[in-house]
This record gives sequence, C-alpha cells and structure tokens, in this order.
Amino acid sequence: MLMQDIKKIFNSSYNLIMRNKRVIFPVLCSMLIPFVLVLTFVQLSGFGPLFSEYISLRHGFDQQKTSYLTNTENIGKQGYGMELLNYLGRDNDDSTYNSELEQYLSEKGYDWNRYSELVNINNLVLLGIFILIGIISVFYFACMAQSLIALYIKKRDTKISSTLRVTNHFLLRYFGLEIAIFTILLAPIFGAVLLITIAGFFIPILAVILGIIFVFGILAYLILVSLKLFFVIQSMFLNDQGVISSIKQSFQMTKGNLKQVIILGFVVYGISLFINGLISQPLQSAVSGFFFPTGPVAMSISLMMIFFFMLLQAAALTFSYVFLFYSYTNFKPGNK
Amino acid sequence: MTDDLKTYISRQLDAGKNADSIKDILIKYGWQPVLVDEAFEALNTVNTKTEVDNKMAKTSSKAYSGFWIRLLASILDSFIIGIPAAIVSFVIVFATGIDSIYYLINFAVAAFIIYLDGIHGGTPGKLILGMRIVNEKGEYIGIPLAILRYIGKSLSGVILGIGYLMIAFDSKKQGLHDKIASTYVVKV
Repeated sequence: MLMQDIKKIFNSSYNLIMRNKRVIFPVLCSMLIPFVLVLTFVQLSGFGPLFSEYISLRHGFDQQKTSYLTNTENIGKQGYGMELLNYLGRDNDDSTYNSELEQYLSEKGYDWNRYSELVNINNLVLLGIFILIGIISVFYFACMAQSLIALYIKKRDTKISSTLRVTNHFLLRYFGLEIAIFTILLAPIFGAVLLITIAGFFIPILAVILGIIFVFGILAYLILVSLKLFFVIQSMFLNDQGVISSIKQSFQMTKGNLKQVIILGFVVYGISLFINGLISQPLQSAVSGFFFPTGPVAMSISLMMIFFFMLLQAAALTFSYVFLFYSYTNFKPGNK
Repeated sequence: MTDDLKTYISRQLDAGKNADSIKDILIKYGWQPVLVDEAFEALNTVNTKTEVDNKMAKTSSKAYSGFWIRLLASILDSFIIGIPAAIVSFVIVFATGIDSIYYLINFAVAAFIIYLDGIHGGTPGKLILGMRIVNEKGEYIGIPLAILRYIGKSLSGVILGIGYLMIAFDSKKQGLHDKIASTYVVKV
C-alpha cells in the first residue's frame, strides 16, 4: 500500500465526516449514555448530597489557601515557599495538600462513614441494573456506528428508520463476532496460563522456562492474529456476511498483504495516540474535575469541557472507524 | 475497476471529449458511479505522479530543508508558542484550580499548529527561517493532511525519535511523518 493510498483514504474519511456530521451521533450516544447513567445513579443512590457537601467544604479550603498565597504580605514569611509548593503540586504524592484537606474536613465534621451506609442492597441492585443498561446501550450504539458508516460508504439511505433496521439486522451477528474475536485472541492465553500452572505444580523450573517462551509466543500470536482479523468488521457490514465468512474473508484478504496491513495498523495506532493524548486524557481529567471539583464554578466549567471533549472524541473515534472501512474498500480485490 | 475502463476513458479524453459527458455515458450503460470515479481518479493519479516526478526532479536537493535547520525551527517554536502557552495555562490553572484547563490549552496549541501547517505552510519557526511545508505539487497541504502529518509526528517520536532522525538520512529530507502525509519541507 503506497503512502498515496493512505493519503487518499485519510482524505476520503475526513470528507465523509465533514459532509455527514451526523455519522458521529451513534458514537456520541455510546459515550453520553454511560455518563448520564453515572450521574443518575449518584443522585438516586444518595451519594449526590454527600458529594455536594464535600465540594462545598473543599471550595472553602481552597479559598483559604489561595487567599493566603495571593496576599503579598505573606510573601517572604517563614513557610510561605513550602505552602506554595504544596499547593501547586497538590496532585503529587509528597504534597501535604491532601492531609491538610483531610484535617480541615474532619474539623468541619465531615463524616466519611456515611458513605459506607449507602452500600446497601437497594443501591447494589440499582448499580447492577445501571451497569447492564450501560453495557447494552454501548454495544447497541457501537453496532449502529458501524452500520451507519457502511450505509454512507455504500451510498444507501441513511435515514433513522434505515439505520435502525440495518443495526437490528446486524446486532446478533456483531455480538457473535465480538465473542468469536475474544475467543480467538484470548483462548490460547488461557490455555498457556493453565499449562504453566500445571507444570509449576510438578517442575517449577519448567514452568519458568515455559512462561518465558509463552510470553514471546503469545505476543507474536496476538500481533499476527490481530493483523489477520484487521478487516473482519468491515467485511461483515459491507458484504452482509456471517461471523465465520467475515473471519475467513479477512484472513484471505490479508494473506500475502501483511506488509500493507502493518502500515495501515501503524497509521491507526498513530490515530489512537493522537486521540489518547489530545482528547481522551483531557476528557478523563474533566470528568475527574466534575466529580471532585474545587467549587461550583469549577464543576460547571468541567461539565462544559466534558461535553466539548466528548464531542471531539466521538468525531475522532468515528473517523478511525471510517478510516478502517475505506482501508477495506481500497484493499477489496473487486475494486482494483 | 478494469484496465479496459481506464483505457476507454483515456482514449475519450485524448479525443477531446468532456469528462462529465464520458461519465454520463458510462453510467447510462450500467457502470457503477463509484467505479467510474475511481477510474478517473486513477488516471489523474498517474498523470499527477508523472508531473510530480518531473517537477521534483527539477528541484535540486538543496531546496529541501535538512535536519538541523528544522531542529532550530522547533526550538524557535518552543519559545514562540510553547513557553507562552505554558505560562498562560499555569496562570489560568492556578487562578481557577481546574487542572483540566491545562489539557484544553494543549489541545488549542495542537489545533493552532495544524492550522498553521495546513494553511500557512508552517509554524512560526519554519516561516521565520524561510521554510514551507508543501505537498508533491508544491502547494500548501490543507487541514486534512496537516492532521495526518501531526498524527505522523506521534509515530515519529514513538521509537526514540527515529522518525525525526530519518530527516537527516533521507534524500528528500523527509521524516516519517512527512512520508506518511507525502509532504516536503522546502526552502523558499
């Protein structure tokens, strides 16, 4: 695969997203729904009021700190430098910020034991239900994302009714495919661990030797099989194939073309580095800032940042899916 | 896409027929629009590559910017963009207490770099030192390719910066990110 092909695939993917922005909708839903479920659980379970009280007290503590540090009369006083360093490096392990916050909360009568009272049967059942709803909705919208992209690439009708119909058509097969991929990738690992464990009972040194061999062997296996399964999802959604046929086709397509697949995989890895560094990490930080804010204003700003980076992440993830689909169509023998 | 299709299109174009009328006739006779578009694109790629090879062949190797001057440009950028961004994020994070704003500013800087690379031909360091990022046609690369190039930079830096060191040894002074995005850094 020439770099010109990668440029062409990249441009096609970019243009599809820019011209059809609603293609990011399913991925956005798959991210929003778990977030809403967590917020709902926090409110329904009774954790919400405890969090609010914590936020309020922490805001007061931070105000005390910043008032002291920004007061010019305190600059030069003994201990000022250490106070400043501890506040600026409050996320570091060697900062005294957290221990001072604990002491402040204790003085204000904030009782952490109230959290343990909320770990009851009702809340556990509620948590279980929400987790189940979250998993089902994330999976459904992941399937919808692939279906919608396939409809756009095949230039078919992309109305909501068509999208839902196609999603429902592929849902069970997609579930079967994920199970199959999971089994293909992880079954040898479980087998190896079992073998090493059994060997360890009888001849420990053999277990160590086998362990070292298996680490490299499993790594090579995972990389090779991941490359062979590179086009399995695209094969299913674009050709309306079953689980086994999709896997077979992906293996056939990549046979003799592993070098090109490695180059594509490298680019996809680069896209994931880009997403992780510029979008996922900020999103995680914003979520953390929202659930553990320093005050109400900080909480609001964190919430806005969550929606902003969620939108960006949805666009970037959708882009990576579209890139894989176009990589498949570029690979497809019938189109060459 | 068959060679017959490409041959037919090529002959029609040589005979002076209009591209749109050729497309209409092919679609009328049952050819899929996607295949017809791809055939035209393939013919354009072949023609472009021939023109590009001729164009780049005329450019002497001295027109490509080498490793050291590009490193100098990066150092300049760290003073022009990096340090001010770090100061701004420090002040805002200290004033608001919201750590995630650091990431927001980081993202804004990346978006700014992509914009400058794609639309203006490079970041301030490159522009000051008389360099431009161009494609094989000698044109500015645009936003999509600037994003691809930026992604390529992540890969360039992954294994001990080997992707950047490639610049020093490549005949056209391309790093890994330049090769992925098919871009060149040239002196103007």
